[in-house]
Amino acid sequence: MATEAQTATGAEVEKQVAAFKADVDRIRAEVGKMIVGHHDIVDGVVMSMLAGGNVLLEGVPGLGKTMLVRTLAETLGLHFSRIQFTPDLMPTDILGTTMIVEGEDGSKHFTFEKGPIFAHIILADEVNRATPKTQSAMLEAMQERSITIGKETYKLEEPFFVLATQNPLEMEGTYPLPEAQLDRFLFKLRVRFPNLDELHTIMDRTTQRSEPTVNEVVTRDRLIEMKRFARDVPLARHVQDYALRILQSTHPEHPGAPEITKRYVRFGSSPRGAQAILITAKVRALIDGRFNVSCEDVRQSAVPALRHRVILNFEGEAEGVDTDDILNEIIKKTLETSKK
Amino acid sequence: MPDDNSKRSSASVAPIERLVTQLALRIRLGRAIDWAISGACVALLIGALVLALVKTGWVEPEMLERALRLIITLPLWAALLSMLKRLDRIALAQQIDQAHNLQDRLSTALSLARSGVDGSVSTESDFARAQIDDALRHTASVKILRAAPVRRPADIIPFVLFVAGIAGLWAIPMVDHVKELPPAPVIQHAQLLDTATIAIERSRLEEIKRQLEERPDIESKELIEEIEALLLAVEKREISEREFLERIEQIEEKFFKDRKPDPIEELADALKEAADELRKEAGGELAQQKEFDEVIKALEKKDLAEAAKAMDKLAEKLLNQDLSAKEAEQLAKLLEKFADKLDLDSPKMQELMDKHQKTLEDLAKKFENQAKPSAAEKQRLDKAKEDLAKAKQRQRIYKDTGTGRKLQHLQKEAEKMAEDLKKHAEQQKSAGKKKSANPEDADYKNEVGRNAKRAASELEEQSREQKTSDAKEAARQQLEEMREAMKRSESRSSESKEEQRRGEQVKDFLERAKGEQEARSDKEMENSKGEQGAEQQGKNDPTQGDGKQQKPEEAGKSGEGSKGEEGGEKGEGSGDAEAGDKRDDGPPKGHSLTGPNTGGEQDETKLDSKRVKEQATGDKGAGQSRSEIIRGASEEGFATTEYKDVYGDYSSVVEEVMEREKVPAGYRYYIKRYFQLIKPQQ
Repeated sequence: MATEAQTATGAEVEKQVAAFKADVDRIRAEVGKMIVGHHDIVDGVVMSMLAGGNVLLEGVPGLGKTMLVRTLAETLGLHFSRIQFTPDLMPTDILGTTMIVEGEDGSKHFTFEKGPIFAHIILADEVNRATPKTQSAMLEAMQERSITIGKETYKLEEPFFVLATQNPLEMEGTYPLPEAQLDRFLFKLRVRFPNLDELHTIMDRTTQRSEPTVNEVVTRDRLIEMKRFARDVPLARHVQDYALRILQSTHPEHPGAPEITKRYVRFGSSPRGAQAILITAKVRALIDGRFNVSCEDVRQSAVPALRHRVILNFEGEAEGVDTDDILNEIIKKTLETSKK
Repeated sequence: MPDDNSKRSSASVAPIERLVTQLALRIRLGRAIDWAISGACVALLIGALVLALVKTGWVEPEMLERALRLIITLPLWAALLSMLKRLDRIALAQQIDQAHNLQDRLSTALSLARSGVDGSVSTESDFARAQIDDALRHTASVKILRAAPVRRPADIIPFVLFVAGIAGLWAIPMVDHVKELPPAPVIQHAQLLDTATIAIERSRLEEIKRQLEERPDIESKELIEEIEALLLAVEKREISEREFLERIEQIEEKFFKDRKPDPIEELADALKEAADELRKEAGGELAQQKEFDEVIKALEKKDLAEAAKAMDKLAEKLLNQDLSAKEAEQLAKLLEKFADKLDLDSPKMQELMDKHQKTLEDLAKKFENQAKPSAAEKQRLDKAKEDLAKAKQRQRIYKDTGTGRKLQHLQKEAEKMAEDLKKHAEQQKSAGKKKSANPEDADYKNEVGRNAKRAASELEEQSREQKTSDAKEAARQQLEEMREAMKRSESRSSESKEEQRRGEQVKDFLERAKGEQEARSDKEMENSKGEQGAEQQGKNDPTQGDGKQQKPEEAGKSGEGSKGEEGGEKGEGSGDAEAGDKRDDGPPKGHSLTGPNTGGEQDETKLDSKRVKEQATGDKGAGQSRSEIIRGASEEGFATTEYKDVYGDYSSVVEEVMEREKVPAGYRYYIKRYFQLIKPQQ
């Protein structure tokens, strides 16, 4: 009886995995209607969302970041809000404020007017242009999934997903995010400039009379279910060990760290980096239709999960060393099998 | 319940476990081959090294066997060690995953199954079970060969190279140092004995050999062989002087060290003494007995062989000829006397013993008076005791050994002969009266003859022994002479130059002493000196002054010679002074003396004291002056007077003159120096 039950549950899991994969494929396909190319960005964003994390997108303006977020929100049937960060943006501008409202009976009372953060998907555009005070207000909400105004605490509705962007070129008058706040982003994705074919496609799509429309393919509840399901993916010890060894290698003081780490890195990633790798690896495994996380999943997740968590030293900054190069070198040097 | 789950989990991953086990075996096998090849490389390297060392002769060939054992065992040990090395099964599963692009399915399933036991991840979770099922589905497509493909061992190339190297080394022939080494240097020592000496010694050895032919003696033969070998080594210059002397010492030690007094020699001595005494006592009677006289003469010469021959003749005579009663009686008496003279106690040794005994008694008496004898006296007493003991010992040996016995035997023979002869004589007398032949008479005669024959053969036997003994003695003397010859040869070579110089001088001197040659001129002497070397020129050779003494007139001329001449001219003035009546007045003007107080006029600034001019004068006697006597003697030559005696006369005359007359100190110096130089050497 027990064996039969187990077989039954096993088959159920298989179905769920297949459904998970199918849903993600649908999301990809729907987003793909609007977003040309950028498959890695789309996958990264979807994976982060399913993993329950936030994403920092880095790229020059005009690459379709806002479009991506809006399309994703529409695909998932979620409420979307966009906040353009500017130096004079106040926390209340994001969180909301308490206002005196006169009732029908003429009585006046305070009413909390929710800010744009009360949405499922937030696009924090050029997040580094706001003051640290404003940044921290939003980042607190990202971490706690709740905001406190006065004596009232407001829980943010699930799913809550923030996509922050920052322009790597215009650094004047900006407030770069501190390391502690960067750590709160699950992934940092770099939006590259589209190639010629992609540009042709973009032009074709955006310069015609009829623009493509996006349909809701996954409901909000299904998304929450998928998020929970992703956490159930079993993780083998040796795979976890592999991820942790990669993490350790980002620390220059670690004996097994490669030479490039020791030379250019000031601080390595926090354990949140490993968490980000493993949770996104799980999602990736499911997206791939597998029941287990592989080392390849870890490798794929490692760079976007760690690139904003590795802090270069002066030499690294001066020489313009890219953290991606460091991470690729670390991955290359780290063996899948532990020598233990 | 958890146990059941564990069992179920383990059972569920059994196919994966089997795959991992298969892979593990394959990997172990591959690793064993790898390690064996690596071990073989190391072993071959060591083997090559050992082989090279063996080929070059640094190591004994037995080492090859050990190296071979190592070559065989080392790879096996390496393979065994690799087989025992632990393999991580998860890692093996990962290897299968990677080979088949299974995205860690098998490894995760295995890991989950194991972790389910420790409880970290429950295999009861649906997801884990699904994952394992998924992994099991993929096991069907797994090919172990793909996970662990057959590959070339890492060290196969070095292995092949080492094998080729060993084979090459093996093919190289063994280095033969003996052939390649240069021939051993031939050590040529100095010629210790000249060719003539070697030839003489060889001929002497041949002579000794001939002597020994009659009575071969192993020891003597060995001795001669040793000497011959030594001569050969000397001839080939194979031995040094030291080795030569050492070998002579070795031979002497081997053959002559513990040599006891020769019994034959002592026998011959005893017989000689007896013969001498007999000759003194009965010389006239001996002259009448011709044959026996010859025997005695031979014994006097210690020639036992000759004595044996003479005795044989006597025996023949006794057997073949009829002796008159008188002759027989006379011969009997002589034989009796001779037998009496044969003293069984060696008289010499007895004399020696008496001497030692007397010394001992004298010393004992002396010590009676002295309370404490001195150490020297005590030593003397001890020595006397020791000598006496030795003499007694020798006397005992003399009696006990062959000498005493042989002498006794000869004495008995002589006595018996005398007795038989007496009987023969008596019977002849009685037969003469009876005028009839007595058969007993013939028996006595024959008995005497046989006795004489026995004595002759006895003597002959002793003569042969004497020859052997003589040969040994000759060999010993030869060794001694060879040693002396070597020393002479050595001294000749070292003194040859000096002797040449001295020989030249002596030759010149003797020629002039015999009046065969006039004194050589200064130039001739200079030439002669020039040949002897420049060092002799500055030594004020006094022989030149001596030459001037022979010709005072010329000396006077020379005394007025040019200034500045050095060397030989320094002795000329003193020659004038010796000449006495024939000398010129005053000291020679041409002296260039630089010695102390010599008073030369050449360089007054060099004088270290005030010059005092002295004139040596003498009164002429009535007879010949000593110098005239000596001169006359020198003209006659020195045929009968030894040079050292002449020197004594010369030097005493000179001493007298110098004591009597006032001779300048500088001249005294040269005169004394001159006589020092011509002083005869011992």
